[in-house]
Amino acid sequence: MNTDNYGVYGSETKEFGGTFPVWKNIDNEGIEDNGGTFKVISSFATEYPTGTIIPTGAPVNLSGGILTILPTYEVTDIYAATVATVVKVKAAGVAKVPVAGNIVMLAPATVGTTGTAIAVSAVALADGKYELTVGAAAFGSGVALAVGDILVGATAAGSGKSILTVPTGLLRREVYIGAGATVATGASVFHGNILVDRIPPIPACVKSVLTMIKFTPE
Amino acid sequence: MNATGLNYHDLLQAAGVNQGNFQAFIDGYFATKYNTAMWDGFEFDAAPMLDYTYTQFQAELKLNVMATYVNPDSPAKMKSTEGFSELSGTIPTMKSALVRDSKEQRELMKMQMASGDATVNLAISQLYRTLDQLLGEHVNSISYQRNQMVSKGKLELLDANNPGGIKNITFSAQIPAANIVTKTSTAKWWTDTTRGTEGSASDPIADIEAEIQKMQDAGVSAITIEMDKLTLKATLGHTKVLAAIGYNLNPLVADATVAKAIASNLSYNQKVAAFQGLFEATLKVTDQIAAVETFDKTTMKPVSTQMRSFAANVVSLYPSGNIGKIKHVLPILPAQGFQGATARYFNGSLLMRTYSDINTNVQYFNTEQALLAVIDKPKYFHILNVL
Repeated sequence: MNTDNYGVYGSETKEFGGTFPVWKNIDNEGIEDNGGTFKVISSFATEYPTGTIIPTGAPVNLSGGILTILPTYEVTDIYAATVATVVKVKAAGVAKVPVAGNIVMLAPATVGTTGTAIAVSAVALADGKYELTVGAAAFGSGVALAVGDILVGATAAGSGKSILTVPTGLLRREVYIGAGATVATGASVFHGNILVDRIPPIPACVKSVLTMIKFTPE
Repeated sequence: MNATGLNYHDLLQAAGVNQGNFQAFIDGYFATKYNTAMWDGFEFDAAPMLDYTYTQFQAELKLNVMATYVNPDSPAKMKSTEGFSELSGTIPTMKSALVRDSKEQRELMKMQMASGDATVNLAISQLYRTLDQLLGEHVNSISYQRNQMVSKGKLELLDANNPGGIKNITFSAQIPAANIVTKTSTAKWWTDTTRGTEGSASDPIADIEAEIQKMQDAGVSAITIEMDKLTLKATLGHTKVLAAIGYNLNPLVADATVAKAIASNLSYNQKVAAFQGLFEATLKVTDQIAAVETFDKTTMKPVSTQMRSFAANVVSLYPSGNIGKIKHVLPILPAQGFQGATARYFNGSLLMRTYSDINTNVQYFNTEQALLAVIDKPKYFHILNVL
């Protein structure tokens, strides 16, 4: 079958350049060796649909040539412990778009601390926020969420769970998943100076393990 | 190998520019664009300063007293001489930076393949755009300084006009407080910020005339009135102004209503000319916009916010001609052997540095400039805040 656009009319605009800086500085030897391919559990097309943008500065774990993203979400509205069933988080600039079935927990005090994680049962997008349906008392008995709290991906649902992965660096460059992509690679920076307000939310526990990254506010 | 020639990550190298001729490149391409007299009444001080504290002698109008009529056999009383006063202050430093990495480099290479333009030409054009953006930022900053000094008598660094930089610092033009008149209550030209309701006791013509009179009493004969374009536009719609223009054009009209009707039918340019004709002064209209960049944390995108460079609802009156100097500080050049290129602009006050990181293929363009537009005759400045 001929799939060219002979006799079909239209136009499109593609933008070049016009970037804004996110990394203020990357140390000469501050990028982890080799880089890696983004982790795929089921299928690449499902987990990284066409049009996906993994933003610069996304927290990643680079291990054995595999880059695992730690999804992080900034809470925008209060989540009352016993009443609320939906957590609202900022949609812009997230490392990974949430989908039903993702498991999240409130960012623990340290990367080794465990907590209660919950599987998101539904995700909606409204007013620039993702609304994650999690149920009441989802993050443990009496645990409420305040504006600015950060949710992170977790290993499994239930109590006593850990964060999904411990980041070893932050993504060097934005990754755009175009049509036909079957694999994506990225570089992880462990030593540099980054504009923290321009990247996905980074919880304190992650900052404390990325000791050579300077997180500079606007 | 059929490689594009434009594969240096160093834009200078691609454009055929090097350490030795970067200054010549800037001098050549920007010889006239920004080196013209853009800041009315201000010119760059001939000599740069060595540190950040400036002193400026306050210019006097030098009104000589008359000789004394005496008895032919008597000597005259000796006259006093006029002293001078010195103004001093501190010069702020401003910097800008652009960064260019290998992704942009590759996009440039793609553009070259698509356009078929010569490698060097495309690189020169990219280099020109990069430098132009940086120099243009400084031009806007200097214009903003000049316009704030003239319209507010000070440059205030605030979150609104200097986001991300130092804040809550004021650089004063040292205009005497008595020369700054602020209309209050019903004497304001308008009583709302949208300039929709006129103050019942407002009289723009009389207010400007009063300031002109004060200046003439102080010995200033050539006077300039300066206003922001939007303030002038609103002023030209003020009832009292329209009536004055109407009466001026036809002194025999029956009443103010008819006078207003006459003026209302004039074109904008006719109104401006008629308005200026009401005063013993030259009208200068400033129409400049500055912008600042912030980062919107909600949308995760940079935002450019525009602002009028000359303060709104202000009428500034000052002696025509030179009103000040742009004081500037000599930048310190990098040591010889610096792995990059430098150039200077704006009487040597702006230092541009470019260098590359060979490991990350990132090229940096940095600028640094310390200057301040300093009014040298503040005692003859009058500012009328009308809202």
